[in-house]
Amino acid sequence: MDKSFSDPTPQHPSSRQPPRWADRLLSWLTPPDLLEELQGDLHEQFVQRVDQVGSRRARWWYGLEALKVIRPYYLRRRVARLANRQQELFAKRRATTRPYFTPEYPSPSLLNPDMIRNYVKIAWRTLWKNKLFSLVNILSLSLSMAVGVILFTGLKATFDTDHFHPKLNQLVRILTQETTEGVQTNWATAPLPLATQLDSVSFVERTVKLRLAGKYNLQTDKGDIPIDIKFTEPSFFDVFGFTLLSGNAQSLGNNSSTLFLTQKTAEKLFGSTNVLGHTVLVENLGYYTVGGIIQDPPLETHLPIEAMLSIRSAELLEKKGVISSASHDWGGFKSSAIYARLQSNSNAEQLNTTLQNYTQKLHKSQLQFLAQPLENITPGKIDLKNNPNAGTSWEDVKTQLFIILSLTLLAAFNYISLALARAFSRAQEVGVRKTIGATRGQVIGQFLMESTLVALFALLFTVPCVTILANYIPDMDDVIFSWDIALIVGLITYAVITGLVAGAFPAWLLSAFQPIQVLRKMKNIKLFRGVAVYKGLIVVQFSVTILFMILVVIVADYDRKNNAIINSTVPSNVLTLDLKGEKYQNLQNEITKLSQVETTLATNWYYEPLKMGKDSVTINNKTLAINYVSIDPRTLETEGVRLLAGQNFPEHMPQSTEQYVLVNEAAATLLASKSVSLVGQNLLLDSAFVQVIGILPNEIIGQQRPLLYRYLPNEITTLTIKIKPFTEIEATKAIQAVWKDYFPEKTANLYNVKAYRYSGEISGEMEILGGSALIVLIIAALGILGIASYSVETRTKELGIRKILGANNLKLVWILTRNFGVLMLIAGLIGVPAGLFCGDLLRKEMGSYLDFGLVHVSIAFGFVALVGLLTVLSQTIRAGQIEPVKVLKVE
Amino acid sequence: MSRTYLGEFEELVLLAVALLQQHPTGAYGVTIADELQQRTHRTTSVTGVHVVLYRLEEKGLVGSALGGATLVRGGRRKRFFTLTAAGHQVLREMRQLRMGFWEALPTPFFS
Repeated sequence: MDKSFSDPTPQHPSSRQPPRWADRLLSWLTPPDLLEELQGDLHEQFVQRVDQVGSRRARWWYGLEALKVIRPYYLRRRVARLANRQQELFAKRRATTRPYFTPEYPSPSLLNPDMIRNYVKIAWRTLWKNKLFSLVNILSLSLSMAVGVILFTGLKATFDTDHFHPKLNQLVRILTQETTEGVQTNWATAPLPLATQLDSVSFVERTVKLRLAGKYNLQTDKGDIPIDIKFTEPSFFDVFGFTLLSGNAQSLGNNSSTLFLTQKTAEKLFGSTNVLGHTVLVENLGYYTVGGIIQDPPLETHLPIEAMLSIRSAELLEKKGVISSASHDWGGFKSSAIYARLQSNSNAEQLNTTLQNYTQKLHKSQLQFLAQPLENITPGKIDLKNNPNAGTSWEDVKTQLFIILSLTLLAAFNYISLALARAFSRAQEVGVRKTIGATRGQVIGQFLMESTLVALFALLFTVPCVTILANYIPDMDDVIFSWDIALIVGLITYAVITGLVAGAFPAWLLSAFQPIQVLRKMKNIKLFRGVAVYKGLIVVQFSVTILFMILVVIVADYDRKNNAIINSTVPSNVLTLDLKGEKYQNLQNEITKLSQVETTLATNWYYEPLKMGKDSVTINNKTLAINYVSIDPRTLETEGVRLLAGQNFPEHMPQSTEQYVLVNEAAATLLASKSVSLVGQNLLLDSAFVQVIGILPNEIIGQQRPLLYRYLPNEITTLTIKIKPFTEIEATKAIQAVWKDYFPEKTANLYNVKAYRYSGEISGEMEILGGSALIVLIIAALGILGIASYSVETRTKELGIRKILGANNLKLVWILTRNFGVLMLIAGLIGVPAGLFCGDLLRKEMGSYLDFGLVHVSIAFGFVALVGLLTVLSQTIRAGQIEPVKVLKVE
Repeated sequence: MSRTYLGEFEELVLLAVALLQQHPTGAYGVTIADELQQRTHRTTSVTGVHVVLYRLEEKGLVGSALGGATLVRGGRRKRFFTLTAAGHQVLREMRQLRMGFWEALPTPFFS
């Protein structure tokens, strides 16, 4: 049947129809109320055009025309329409009272540009009028936002990691999946022989072999500097975005004694980057010549580089037996990595299928291989071993987001409490607005605009502060503002969200006021039950502050005592010499003979562990993993450490088998119910029985942990040398000379124990706790400052009357301050137990020397309360200056 | 003149409306765009003409009504524009202003 007969409607050939996509585009872009006429006109014109210029050009023209609808005018009409629809959401409440005058037109909607301009204007005026409140709000918000901003830059760095490599989406890393006895482990490293096989795969453009050698000491004028070394081939610089400042990538392939350094490493080693041709001795590996300087990468990377050697050099070293053999051994996959650039990013799946053919069987395990796109490394989703620099995982990203959110909430607290405290004065304003015809939505919009403005100002304040801070605090190296659109948008979004969160609750409460109530008799009505909320907020803030302060005081006390102990016990004339894994008997004898030296001890323990091991201990069918140190039998005697029970190691210890062991008190209580009874018992240490012959007191320096003291001559890594007083310089020279005789290839690492190990002033805990305490204290103080100032302002009339009736200034200040004192006490009641609880957790971490005495707790509480009350007083003192005539003449 | 400011294109569109509303085809997007194209030899897009028309309508210089659906338009109606009294007034003032200038110019200027 012919089609044209069956269908009565005239058939346009498809070429006489405008393109479908353009029509659809048009119907999306055009405001619905204009669509009909516009589309009709365009269709009509299209038909004309087809006759004039042919269907192809007409269709092309039609598409262009449809796109032209994206003009400001049409967009504005769309927005206006959106705004109208949104206004329906906030429909005007059917007024039970008639507004003062009936508006002729419906009030404009929330998103109306004019209205928004108006909101900003009014918000600005309100902020300007209450300068103190605005300042307090901005300062406290910016303080808590600072931490958020720092975390935020960290997050951004995470997501930017490795984004400097060209053709990033074509790069993959080969992962190894090792299955041993049914247990599967994922490794971020891969065996080098696989790379040769990958080279033959058609869609693999280029591969890079990388051997991760780990840290080696480079000898410089400043002594040994440990540098992370990687072996690689010239293709590294082709595949990755690392660029050479000087030197030629090919030299890495041609010359096995070439060494590439990054800018940073070169600065560290030589103090300059202009060091091409310098020769350096790498401990154990030999001499290398600097053949190139690598530019420090602009972004974070999962593959941080310090120094690079040629992979050919690795093969030579393997032959010499200096490093483990991995080049041709599938089993050596844990110290090498393979990267590849594919022809296009769609090949990654294909590569995974190909890699299945290369599955390898080792004698105990099976290796399978996977390709991981470079982009998926940071933030990482899968659990990988040998992946130390992948940075933040997705889990951490989520945690950081959570922290940012809770900080935002904390920052919002101050704003909320201040806004609520000022609710009374704003109530009238709300009343007037509503009477004139504002909807609740508009009032909310007004308040939200104010809080958002405050948050944006706070952001303006925070960013320079953080930048300055980052320059002064060494640990904050990674806070770098790499300004780009994403960062700016992110920061502004963060500020806006902070503003909205802070403003939401006050806006919601304030906008609920009934005009008739607030305007009739302000003072008498109960505005809302929740006015006490701000008191609650003050209490929360101050109890948190007290909590932190208690911890700070306790830790500070601990530090002080610790330093005192160190000063009194650790002698200043003891040097330690790092043995670097060498046999030390002869060296020790030689050093002992030096005229400046009193005694030498080969020990891993000197009042605290210098190097620890861990082993399993079994006694009475109980198995525990306990740390141990290897100790010279003579140490206790020489240092005059007194045993709690039992006896010291015998004079002559058997060298070959271990027979005796000493334990400290903590270990003894862990192993036996009655610690003294442990002496003489046998322990199964790893797989051999040893006898406990004595119990030592706990360590007096540093952490207290259960510890075994063993005599394992092979594990000794340090020689402590006690020298005659005032001979340190000569002794150092003499010892270094002796060392040079024995081990000419290595430099001597010789330090004064006291100066080297105990010169740090503040412990890490102290820094973190002190910092947090300071921030929380400042935020709390700023919050209470605003509220105190407000409470004075609202009560001026009452105070004036009191003054007339004969109250003296002291009394007036007392009346105002009293309430805040009560709040402080309540905060103390909550904060002190919380502080003690957290301190107890800390004690488990740091040992039992933390002292929770009444003195410390009261110092902490007293300090916080004092700061709080002084802040309050700085405002309430104004009550004394009130002149009744001035405050009472109006009304 | 103090009341309304008209851009050049707006003025041309307004004139086109004045011209075409006498015409049997009426003044709507396509005819106006065609008229302008013929007379000015500029490429004029229908969407652009529409924007100007809506603006003129907002200023109260033209009025509009829907009607006249045809098959080529897929049954969609047209929006016919007509000059309002205010539009008339503005055009007349424009013309007077221009004429005033031309009359003030010396005659040799034309040669």
